[in-house]
Amino acid sequence: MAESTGDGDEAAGSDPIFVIDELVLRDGQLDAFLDAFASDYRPGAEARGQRLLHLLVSPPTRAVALPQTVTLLWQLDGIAGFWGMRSQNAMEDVIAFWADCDAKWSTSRSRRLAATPEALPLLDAAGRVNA
Amino acid sequence: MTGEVGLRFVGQVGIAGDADAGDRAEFARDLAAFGASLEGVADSHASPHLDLSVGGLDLTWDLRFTTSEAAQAFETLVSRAEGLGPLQGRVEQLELGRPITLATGLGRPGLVGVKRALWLRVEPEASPDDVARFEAETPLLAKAVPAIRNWRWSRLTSADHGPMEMRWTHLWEQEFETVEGLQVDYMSSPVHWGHIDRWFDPEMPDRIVDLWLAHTAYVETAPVLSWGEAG
Repeated sequence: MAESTGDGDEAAGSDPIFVIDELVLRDGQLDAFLDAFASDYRPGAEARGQRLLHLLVSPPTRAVALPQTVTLLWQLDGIAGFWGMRSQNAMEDVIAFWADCDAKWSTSRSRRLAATPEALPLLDAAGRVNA
Repeated sequence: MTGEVGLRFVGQVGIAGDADAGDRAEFARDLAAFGASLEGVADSHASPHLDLSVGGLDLTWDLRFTTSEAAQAFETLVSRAEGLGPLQGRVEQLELGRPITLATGLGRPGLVGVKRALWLRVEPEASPDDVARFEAETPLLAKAVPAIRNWRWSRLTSADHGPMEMRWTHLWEQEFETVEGLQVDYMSSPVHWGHIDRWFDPEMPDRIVDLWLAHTAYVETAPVLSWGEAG
């Protein structure tokens, strides 16, 4: 259950919010990860309001076996979109996907929230409506 | 860490049977009065949870004692089967803990507003370094959200067995002037969703908090977080 208590101020917090996933994959696990991501994670994530903007692989080659990093860039519809995602992601299938990821395909993983520099003043103001 | 170990208790109470809003309000008055009648009590307050609360019981009971001896006597009392005296039969569940303050801030002592609490359990396998970082970071929310007028961040301890046994390890309490401060400012702050929430998010590798939370809020009739302070 997310720590969700109600709707945020959408007018002040409607700028896009970005979710950045970075996964360092085990050698040779790129295809296994991509297949599972496409079938077991992405459809549900999109239903929770995550729009996939980019799926990037580095180094950008399959010519030789190298540890590869996958970067996923998602967009959410503002603060309301963030809490919409969070109110729905404490699900067994979501938790199982990331557990599989940590156990089978990746050696390390991070998820960060981000916004454009221009959005920061408005996002900060959203937390100071009743200051 | 600041002091006052053992002088305060904070509890959640579940009322037996079907209780409507009137029943909960009446029970809260009776419970507050029962607390006030105990030996060595400085303050006793009980209030039903607002409908926006999630994952908790029916009401919160706050108590403050004048001495650690009186607090210990209370703990012993409620650990017995009939510890709540005439109210015992009306209580279905009692989770009562002693907050040990990690940090606190009183920007508006004396405020009688809306008190919100997040009851949480840090998972036992969390690393001590992560727990220390989580404990150090949580007060950033009070800095980032001016609508949080008063706040207290505590570890919770309770007796190992009996009615006081509880699952929670930490308690994050805040006082707002109105419920909008909680529902709008607190939930909208990027320090909340963009930074602190990673300790709670099941998709984050940083998560150390159990997914079962209790988010409770109630309307105060006394300045609970500034009890014992100059108003």
